[in-house]
Amino acid sequence: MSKNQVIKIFILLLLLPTPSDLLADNTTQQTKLKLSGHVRDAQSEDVLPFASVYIKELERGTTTNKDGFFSLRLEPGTYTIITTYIGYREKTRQITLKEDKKINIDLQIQSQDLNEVVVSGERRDANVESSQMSSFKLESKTISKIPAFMGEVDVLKTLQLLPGVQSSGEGSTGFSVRGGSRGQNLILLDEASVFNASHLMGFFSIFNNDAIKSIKLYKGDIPARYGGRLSSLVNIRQKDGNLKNFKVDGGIGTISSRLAIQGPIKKDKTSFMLAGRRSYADIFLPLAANENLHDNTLYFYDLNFKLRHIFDKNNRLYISQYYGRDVVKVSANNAAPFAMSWGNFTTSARWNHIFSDKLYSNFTFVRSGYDYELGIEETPDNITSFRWMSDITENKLKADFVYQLNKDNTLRFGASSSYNHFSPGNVEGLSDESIFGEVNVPSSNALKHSFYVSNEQEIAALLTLDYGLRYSIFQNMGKATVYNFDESYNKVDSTTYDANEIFNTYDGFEPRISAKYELNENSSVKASYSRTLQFLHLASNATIGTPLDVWLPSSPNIKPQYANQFAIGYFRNFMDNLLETSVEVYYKKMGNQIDFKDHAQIFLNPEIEGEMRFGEAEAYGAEFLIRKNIGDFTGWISYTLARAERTFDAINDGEPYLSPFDRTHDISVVMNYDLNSRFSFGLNWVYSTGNPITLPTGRWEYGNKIAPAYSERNSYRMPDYHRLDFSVTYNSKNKDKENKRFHSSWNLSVYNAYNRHNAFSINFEEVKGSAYEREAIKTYLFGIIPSITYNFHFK
Amino acid sequence: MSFLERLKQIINRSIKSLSGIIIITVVLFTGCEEKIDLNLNENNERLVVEGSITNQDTLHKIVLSKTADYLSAEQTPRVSGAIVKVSDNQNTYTFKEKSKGIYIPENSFAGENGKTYNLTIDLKESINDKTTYTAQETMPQSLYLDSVTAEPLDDNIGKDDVQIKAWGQEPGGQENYYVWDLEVNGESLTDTLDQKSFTDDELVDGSYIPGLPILFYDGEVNDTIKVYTQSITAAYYDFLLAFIREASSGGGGFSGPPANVEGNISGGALGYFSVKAVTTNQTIYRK
Repeated sequence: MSKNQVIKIFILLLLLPTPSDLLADNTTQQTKLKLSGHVRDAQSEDVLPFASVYIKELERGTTTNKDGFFSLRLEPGTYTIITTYIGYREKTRQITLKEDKKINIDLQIQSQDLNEVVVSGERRDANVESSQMSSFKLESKTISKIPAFMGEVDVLKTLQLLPGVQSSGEGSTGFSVRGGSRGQNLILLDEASVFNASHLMGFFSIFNNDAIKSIKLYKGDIPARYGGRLSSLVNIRQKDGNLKNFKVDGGIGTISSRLAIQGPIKKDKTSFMLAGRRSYADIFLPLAANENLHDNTLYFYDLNFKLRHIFDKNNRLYISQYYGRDVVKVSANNAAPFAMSWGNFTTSARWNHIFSDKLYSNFTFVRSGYDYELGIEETPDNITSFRWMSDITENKLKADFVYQLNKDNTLRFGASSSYNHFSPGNVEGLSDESIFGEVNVPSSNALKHSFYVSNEQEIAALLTLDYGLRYSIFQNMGKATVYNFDESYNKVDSTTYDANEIFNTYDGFEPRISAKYELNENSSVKASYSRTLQFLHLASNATIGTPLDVWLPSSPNIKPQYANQFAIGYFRNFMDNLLETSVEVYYKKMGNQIDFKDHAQIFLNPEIEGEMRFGEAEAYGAEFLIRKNIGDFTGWISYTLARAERTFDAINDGEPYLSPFDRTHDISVVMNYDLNSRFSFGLNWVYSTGNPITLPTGRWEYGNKIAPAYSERNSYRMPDYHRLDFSVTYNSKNKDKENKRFHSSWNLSVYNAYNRHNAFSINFEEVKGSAYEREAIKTYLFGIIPSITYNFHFK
Repeated sequence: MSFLERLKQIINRSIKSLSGIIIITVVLFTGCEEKIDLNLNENNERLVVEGSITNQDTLHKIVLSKTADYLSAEQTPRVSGAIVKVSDNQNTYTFKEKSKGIYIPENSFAGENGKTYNLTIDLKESINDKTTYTAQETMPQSLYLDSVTAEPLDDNIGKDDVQIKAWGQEPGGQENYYVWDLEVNGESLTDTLDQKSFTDDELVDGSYIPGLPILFYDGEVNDTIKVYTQSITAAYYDFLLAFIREASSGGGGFSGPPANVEGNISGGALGYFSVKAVTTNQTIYRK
């Protein structure tokens, strides 16, 4: 499809008259009055998205949008308005409408015990009702109930329990969505890109669950207002802070401790949230028998901050910040210490402005980045001292608008501009006699501008379309040095560009469309097509994330990656929405994919673009999900049957090979049972086909040395992976009245309960006493790991 | 109770809990290794060629062998009965099997700098359905050293206490690659690849080589030292480095997928047909 055709089709769709437009009678339109407002949490005044607002007399209603806002057109009269939201008491209110009216509906939380409440940001029948497919929303409360590795509740690991999401390795926060690679996931923390979301070699994510409000994953059907990565969007929101009361959440765990405070600065006007977490494995190092370990350092920390200010009904300001780092320092035998640190920062400021009850907007400024630094400290006469630094930063301005055209059309449009700076690596010796010269991978800059418009349109009572178009322009900007390569990837020469000189431009359209057809009250069929473009690329050929991963921009040598994804699904709820089920089938074709040539030199290589090879990837699969959200017994079972392949001319003799993220079968069982107010139990079991790997099948001799002869790429698999975790939570209750507002709980989590030795890697070792014989040795990372966490909540 | 007081209360409580947890915190990073059974019975047999032609008429040798099963105990089998020929544009030299799998020229000849040599191998029995294999390589220019010197290494670490230095004019003008072999008292000390010494000419391109240390060994006074300076092609240099890395590395989760070291033999064989320009220098080690 050419660009022009895409635009034409889009405009055509937009101009399609809707049934309500056709039927609308101007005279009655004028006599109708407008009832609008927000649905909020009565305690915190947090707005409640997707709450149901129902007019009893008319037997119809609406739902609030993601900002908790609703708008209805009604004839003058008296109405009974019933507002419902999961976890909250239903509220019935009589309204007499004589003129346009704005109201706020405040809902009370159902249970007094806040710990027990599952606040769902989705309407109860969203699974069937929403036109959005291939997405999944998790609240931090749900996440905290899942048995956690070393007791560290982790949003990214919870995502890996969802259908279509595969873990990239044992205990790792890295993940692959629908056969895409690790670098194709866009992780946003309050709209700011997070470039490397892991601590401690990926065993923990940077997200402190106490600071997180919700997380929403899009595996496909990504809304037109988002772009930048091919395979998924993980949208994480920090807590806004309570507008009425102070609250403290905290915990002491095996790995880290954390504390989060939230509350009003000015009641009902301004609220804040401040959270911190620090690991303390190194606190115990001085106790170690080996004295060499005493001076070592190994920890990570996170700081989260959010501020909300409500100027008036129409203006709200949100400021969100994150800062976190890992610090490692190793000194052995009086040698100069080797130090390494890495971390992310994000800052975003969002101004939410309501122009009218039909048009509202968000203006956002974002700045975020990731950097790492390692080296050996400078000491006198130390010729081995050096410093290695790398960083990436992003600055972004964004404006988003939602326009409620009429009852059946919700129009969204907006634009964003971002500026990225890349400094992939710079190493220098520190002392004059240093054995290290200077290695400098040239830094570069890029601009990206995006525009989008989309419309959610109810075509008929049962059919809803959501269609949109995104257009992006990507530009490389000097100062930069670009190496030019010949057809066999040998460097020919290089070109240097002046500061602020734009020397390369890519652009492209990303159409997105989805349709929902309601078969009946309990079931629907949805289908979607989306095209996504990616201009930033993760330069890594390891399946597991490392702190040294760097991002590179598209350039004259690296074309933007693109993907076309088709998905169709059947959604059905049972037992009055108690049980949600879905089946989705997807097919994704990706172009300009990046893999590295054999024996590629990735770190600190100024000519890294010459090590890249380009090809295609294909992924398809079926995902099955049964989920129960309400009641004492909650959880889900998911099963994914999938395949992901790559085809590169320069790799595996041009034959297709399995993506490292291919998992034929992937099963997750997640269960939680609240026995009574004191005890609750969690359990999860995961099973997946082993990762594809390349193994030596033969052995050959050259120059009296023996080397392995390998199979075709990824033609073998690791042993299948499976694991059971469980947890028991004991909630202690205080008897004395004064401390009634203090709740604490003990959580015992057991990771890998039946102590399976899942293979992390396979190596071969020479059999002692034999010149040639070798045996296969697997390395497993974790046996059974129990951990205890003490959590408290206080207001 | 004020908010701050309550906070203090919580912190006190927390510290109590923390001390409890420390006791339980015997963090069991039980990372371990154990043997597993793997079924690697893929029928993926390949021919392996280790061949070299030089500008010295006695040093040509083509060795043919096959891959062995990776987990088996046997040596890689040699391949007998092949018809091996090397030709430049004018002459074709036939090779005969001297001992099992080792082929040498029937009639002696010396290679020439700048000349391209074609290797043809016809197997008696096919390997992986292929019987004919070919390769092509051009002889680089020679490096004539003025001399090599042997001197004691003052601050020697370990056993190798003699260093051999090279002196002479580097040809320059193009990227040259060298491999150095060492023979002491008539005995080769560099039979395995990782004992040899490799370098490119990046540091000395076109200039006089001012006593560059090229080889080290554990020597005795009055040793007769013979150095073979071999000029090799860039492709062969890359192959050697990659092969040594592949032969000695273990891989792991953070590196990329392992892959075969590709040589210059067509038809799916492993190995390399190298054409090298060899010069020799001699010296005697005196302390």
